[in-house]
Amino acid sequence: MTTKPPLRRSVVVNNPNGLHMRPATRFAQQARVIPQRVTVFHGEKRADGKSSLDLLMLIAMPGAELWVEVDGDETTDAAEAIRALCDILAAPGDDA
Amino acid sequence: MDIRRGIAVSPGIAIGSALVLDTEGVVISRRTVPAEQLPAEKLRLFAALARAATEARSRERILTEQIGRDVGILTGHAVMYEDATLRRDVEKLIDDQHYSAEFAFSRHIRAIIRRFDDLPPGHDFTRLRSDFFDLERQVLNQLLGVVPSEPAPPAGEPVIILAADLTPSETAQLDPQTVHGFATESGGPTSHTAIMAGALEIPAVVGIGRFLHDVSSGDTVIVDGGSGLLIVDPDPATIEKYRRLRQAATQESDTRVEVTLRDVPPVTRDGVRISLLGNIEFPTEAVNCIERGADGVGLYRTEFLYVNRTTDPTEHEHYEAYKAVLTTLGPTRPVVIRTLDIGADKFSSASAMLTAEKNPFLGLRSVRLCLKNLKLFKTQIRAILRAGVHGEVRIMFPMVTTVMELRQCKSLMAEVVEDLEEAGIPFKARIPVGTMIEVPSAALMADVLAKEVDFFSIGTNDLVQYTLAADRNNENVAGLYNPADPAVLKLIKMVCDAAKARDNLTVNVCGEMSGEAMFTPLLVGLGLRQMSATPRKIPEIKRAVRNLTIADAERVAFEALRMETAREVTTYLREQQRRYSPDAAD
Repeated sequence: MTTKPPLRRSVVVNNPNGLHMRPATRFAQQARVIPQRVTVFHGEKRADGKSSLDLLMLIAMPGAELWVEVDGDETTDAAEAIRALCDILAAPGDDA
Repeated sequence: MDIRRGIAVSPGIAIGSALVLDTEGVVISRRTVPAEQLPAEKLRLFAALARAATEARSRERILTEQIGRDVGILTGHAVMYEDATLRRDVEKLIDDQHYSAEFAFSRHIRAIIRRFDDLPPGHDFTRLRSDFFDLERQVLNQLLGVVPSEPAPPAGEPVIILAADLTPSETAQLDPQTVHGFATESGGPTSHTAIMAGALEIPAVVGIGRFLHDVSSGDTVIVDGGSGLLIVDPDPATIEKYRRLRQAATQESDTRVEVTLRDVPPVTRDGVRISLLGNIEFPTEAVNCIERGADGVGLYRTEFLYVNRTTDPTEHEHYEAYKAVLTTLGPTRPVVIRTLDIGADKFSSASAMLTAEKNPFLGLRSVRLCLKNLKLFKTQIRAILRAGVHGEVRIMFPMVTTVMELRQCKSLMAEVVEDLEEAGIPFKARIPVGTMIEVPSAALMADVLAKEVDFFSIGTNDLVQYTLAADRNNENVAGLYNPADPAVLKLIKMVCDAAKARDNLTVNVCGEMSGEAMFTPLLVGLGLRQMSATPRKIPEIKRAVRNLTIADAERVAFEALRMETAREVTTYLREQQRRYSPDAAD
């Protein structure tokens, strides 16, 4: 049996404070809702998307390009999930 | 008496006795537990994390009720207490090293904090350190069964909290009724603690540097949150001075004082009339201008129409928002409407055309954005022209950098006029057109721009930022940002001279500088006869105007323009302010 490659998407952090406390919290809360594994990559660093602590440790500044991976393929609800997660990272919210 | 300077994060004056909080982290000694106790030790950890999360959520809820909006930081902490990665890592320390829950948790959090310490100084993420100290303290309190020693001073006795640092949880618990201010050794203007202080409206100064060893609980201290000063053991004269300042600040909002000033005109002692206008952000503020005796609205910001929504505002929405203000101000008072003045990242339709900008303040924003998005721009211009039938409307373009941009704006207006004429829609064809002067190139080219417009409005906030190339929200360079800098004064002078040479073209100033009475003599002396400030400041500026003569003001401007540094200028202006308005605050 071959394992299917996960869904993968790139997104640029638009929050002027970078991937800080509040966006990281929102992302982790959203990621915890879905059963699949969520992983976020920033260059060499990787974070468990369900962990806001891990996300903070990516030290992603505004403009950073991140990759989000969700187990599943386009036909599953993973496609909808990855879109919602990327929206959180791309949101230009003014908060920290 | 000992005066310490820090970073002003929340304005206001507090006088009271000091309460020194020991917020150094708890030191937990290395302790191991026997193997058979490990499962119980892990259960203690899980229970403590769960209680800490509940506690954080309930504090967030109380805070939200208190200030009427969601801050979200303590919810962030709660989500972290529930973090599976955090739990797994600490659990592993207990399993592998047989550490006690306290020592394992403390050790793990300290390791995380050290990773923030390794970032370059001033890095944006270093401010998360205090959040992690907070997490450590909260969980240890739960594990050790410590009831947090809350700052609980005797009832009715105002205190001022002094600490090395305050964590966001601690700040959230401060009761503005008893805690009248706070000052900390560390922290920056954008730390979560500073954000909370601002939300709770507690005067606060942070980032003072080491001072706690020189002060003890019970000492009298003053926090001047507007100037970023902490005064320890003030002498009686200083206490008296700050009492008066505090009282004056209270009186500013006292309507009786405003009413007495409302009906007298802003005229200098030698009879020169100065126009004082109000800056507003929302239509509902128009009435504040009338109540404070403003001569009109000098700056109507229109960004509120665009932000926090998924579609662009319709022409009708624009029109209604402008009509409301024009109707409130009546047929004779001018209302200056500034066209859209934000970056593309801030609102919906334009964000699509935005590729991430490396340097947004020098990027596609304001009028530059409008000239690339003509449909959006024309909609706003149409609504302004149509609303013109309801009063004395004026249009003003922000961030104009070259004369070509200004000409483009004007030809676009001409197109809109034609469209409206053809469609037979009622509108006002000839409305005064102005440009903001807020980038150095516009100030330098003011003589050329003057030929194109009916008025100038100097936006000092941006002019200062772009002239000195310093972001005032960046604590590392905020010291450079100073409206009193001689470079800024020279540019303002240049603009006034260019306007004067062209039949006394009207010049207005609408940055924060015009709302500070310290600058009033200087601005009048440079030739300004119109100023626009937040409505709350108008009575104060009016009082400053009424204490002046033009000759005095011109002498002040002459002297200030000869100075070499912002510090000299500030000192001089403060001195002059005391001289001309002995009753006013400095």
